[in-house]
Amino acid sequence: MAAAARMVIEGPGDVLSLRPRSTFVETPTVRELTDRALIYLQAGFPVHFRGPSGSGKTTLALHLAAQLGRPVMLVAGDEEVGTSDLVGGRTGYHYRKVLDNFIHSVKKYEEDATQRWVDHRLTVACRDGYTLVYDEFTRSRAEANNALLAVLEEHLLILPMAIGPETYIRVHPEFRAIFTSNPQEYAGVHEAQDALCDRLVTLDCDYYDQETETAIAAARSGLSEDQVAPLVQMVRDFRESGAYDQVPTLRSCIMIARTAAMHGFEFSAETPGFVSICLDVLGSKTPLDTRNRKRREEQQKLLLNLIQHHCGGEKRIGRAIRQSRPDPTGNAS
Amino acid sequence: MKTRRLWSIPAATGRAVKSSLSATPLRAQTELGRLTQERERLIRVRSNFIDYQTRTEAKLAAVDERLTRLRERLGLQPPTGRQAARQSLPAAGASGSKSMREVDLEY
Repeated sequence: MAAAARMVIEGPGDVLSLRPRSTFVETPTVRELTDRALIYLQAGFPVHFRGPSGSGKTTLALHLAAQLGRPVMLVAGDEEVGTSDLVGGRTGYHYRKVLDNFIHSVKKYEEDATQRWVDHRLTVACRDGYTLVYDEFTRSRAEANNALLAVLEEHLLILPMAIGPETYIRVHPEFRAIFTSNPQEYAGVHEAQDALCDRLVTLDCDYYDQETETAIAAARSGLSEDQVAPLVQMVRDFRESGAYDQVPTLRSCIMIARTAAMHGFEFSAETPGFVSICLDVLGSKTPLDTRNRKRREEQQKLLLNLIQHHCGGEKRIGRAIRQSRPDPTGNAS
Repeated sequence: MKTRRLWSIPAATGRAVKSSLSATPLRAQTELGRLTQERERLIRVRSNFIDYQTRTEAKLAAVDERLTRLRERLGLQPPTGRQAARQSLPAAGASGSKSMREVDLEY
């Protein structure tokens, strides 16, 4: 009986081919940021988009990756991500048994156990020169990203000893890496090691300018820019006020605009449905708690004032609000 | 003819197994000549294959260049990320990794 153990290489199986959706908006601001990042990528340096939630980091990273024209490997940062999730690892065996009884009185028995090695996304991207998009990389523990240090500096992927078929992989010259992270997030994130940050060209992404936000909200809701402009301005003013726990972002504009458009609600303070959607989407930015009930009431008043200011309808706003929902303060009107 | 016993055979069978390796010198010479010719043939095939691949790459580059010029003349946009990615995917088996499934992602 003969027994042998070998490695079989298998890939992750999927590669992403990116394309902008029909509603993708490229304003001068987006183009300027993309061009800035492309300069560094073309020079061979990884780019890191850092910004708050809802600032468009991931979309920008995907847009940038699409500009490179190479297949894309997308990795999402997570607490559970380890080195083997990036570079690959052993996942089971292939067994083969051969029973040779060609001559009836002679039996030849052979058993072969082959260990299966699966390349994961970083390894495939490094070997084949794909673009790696590592979204929210600070959600992974810092030590999980250690394999990236040599990849980005020495252009060498060092596989853990004795678990792979090869120990070193020379990084393909067309390999590029794009990272995103949110420095304001505190839930489920880790600090990135300085060694990794030092290897990245970090571009800070703030919330887009009003023109870009209006264009994106209009494209995603199917409405005209003139229609969504007051709504966008209202959300921006609310963001400026600071009267919330979670920052209202462009996503809030899109949620309100698309929902209101779908149900045919006019963007007016006189439309109960529209007011109700605004209060649901934006009012929830401060959690309802018995201890901060007063703060919540003040926030709601602020929102109603903003709706009234930007979407008009001074005369009948009170009735619209009463029709949309009961008085949040609990007082009889 | 020289024979070699490969495995232990029960005596009751009364037979021995002949090995193809235990051939006469004449047959070995014939086999040597045949294998040498086969090897030369395979080298020619490989050489032709490499030439064919090189010529195809050159033709592809020329077509790409002509396409680019035509697009410029007609004022058309360059290929989208998806098309470009498909065009630049490595040839099957060229990279050592298994064939990859392409998943479209709109952003």
